[in-house]
Amino acid sequence: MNMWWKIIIFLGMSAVIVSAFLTASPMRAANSLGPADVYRIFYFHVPQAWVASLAFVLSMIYSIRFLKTRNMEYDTKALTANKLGVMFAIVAMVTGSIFAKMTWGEFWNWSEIREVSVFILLLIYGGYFALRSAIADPDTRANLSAVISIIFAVAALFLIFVLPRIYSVFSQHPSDSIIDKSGQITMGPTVRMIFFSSLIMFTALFFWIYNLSIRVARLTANKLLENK
Amino acid sequence: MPTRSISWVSKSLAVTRKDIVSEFRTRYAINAIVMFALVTLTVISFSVGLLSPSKEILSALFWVILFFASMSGLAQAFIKEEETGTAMILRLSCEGSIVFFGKMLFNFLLLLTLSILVVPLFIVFLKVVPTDWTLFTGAVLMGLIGLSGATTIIAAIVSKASVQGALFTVLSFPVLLPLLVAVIEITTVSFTGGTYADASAPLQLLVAYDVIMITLSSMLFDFVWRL
Amino acid sequence: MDSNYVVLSVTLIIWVGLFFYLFSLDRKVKKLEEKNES
Repeated sequence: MNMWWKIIIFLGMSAVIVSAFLTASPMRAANSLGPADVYRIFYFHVPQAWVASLAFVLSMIYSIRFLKTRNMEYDTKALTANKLGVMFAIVAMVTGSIFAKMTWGEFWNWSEIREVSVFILLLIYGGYFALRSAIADPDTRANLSAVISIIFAVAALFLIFVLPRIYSVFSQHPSDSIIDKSGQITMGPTVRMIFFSSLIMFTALFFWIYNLSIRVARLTANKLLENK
Repeated sequence: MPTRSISWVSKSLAVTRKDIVSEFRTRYAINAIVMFALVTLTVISFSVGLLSPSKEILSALFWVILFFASMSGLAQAFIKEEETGTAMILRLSCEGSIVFFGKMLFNFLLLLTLSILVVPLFIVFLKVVPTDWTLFTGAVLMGLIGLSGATTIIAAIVSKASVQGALFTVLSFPVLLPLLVAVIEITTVSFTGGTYADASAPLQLLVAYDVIMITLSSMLFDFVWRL
Repeated sequence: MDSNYVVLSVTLIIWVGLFFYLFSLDRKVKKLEEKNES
């Protein structure tokens, strides 16, 4: 990545942060669910959750490619995506809990599918890393963790897309405030502008960190080879 | 072609038969599973039996018993092969899919034996009788098929790692969660006497889960088995 | 509105810190990569 990208990310994210706090809140007035300013967290919480799921999809793609090619490079990529996924999932969970506390009065709510699914996502990552730490041989480790992450991904699809359709109780998310019932996004032009720039900036930031982590992992692997 | 598929089925059955025979000699898995189920059942009966819990809670407890009991024994299917060194011979003698379905059938039979023992005791101890036996039996059978299908490949993965027992539960839980949610819902309907319409959505989910998980596991099994 | 500015400045400080950490890490990695290649 060259210099320009970094400058764009720096200025873009700074602009998002400044405008997120200085423009009018996405929720115009205080309502029964809390003060209007609380809704500014939406600019950060949603992109974080999006990046966490992006990391999850990325690691699944690289797992499949690893099984096809047996190229250890893909194993490193899948592992790195998972590591970053954990980071962003935890951040999204914390911001989501704060949001939930301010709007619904509770930090945690088991009937809310998106909170539950972030939690399950963390369990899945936990299982993935537990498996990796339990296998000593690198080839076996790469192979088995690729298989388990494909199985996990299918189970996660069931949890995230199928279960909420069955249980109507699973939908406390602020769907009427930002996204209306039909799934149409109803945001003012300013809100939409900030939200989508935030989405783009978080995605760019993710890929930057991702690229860096892979290069660090490669350097570490080289170092280990030299020491041998 | 028909002779090939017939020999495929009979080979899978041979794997199952081999496991059953070796299970009868040691009775390791069945002892672990049944004792675990009895202990959990007793603990639950002692602690909540006097409180007359609601039927929703009872159906969840029923599946908690089955889930944890199966976690204590199902991992053995492959660990034993690896420990005694017979895995290599099995690997040489037949295809991966044959081993997968043979082991899966064995695990299913193990769970079936378990539930034949646990269901009457559960009904007697916790004083809950399914109003709809067909729905209840269907839910249990479909649940056990999904349970054995999803855990067979995880058992194969775990047999290659260290700290097997704990790892098996950790890996199984997220995979089995959709199954458990659906099956608990159906069991609740069969306890409270709801109609089939109440159970149709979780039933569809359950069938879809079983089909997809078994197909996926059998496809991925070769990657684990032939390392 | 005052508390808004407080949150804004805290967030900005965190972001600038994170950015410069990543930036310096990027340069270090680049140097090591060049050293490895030569």
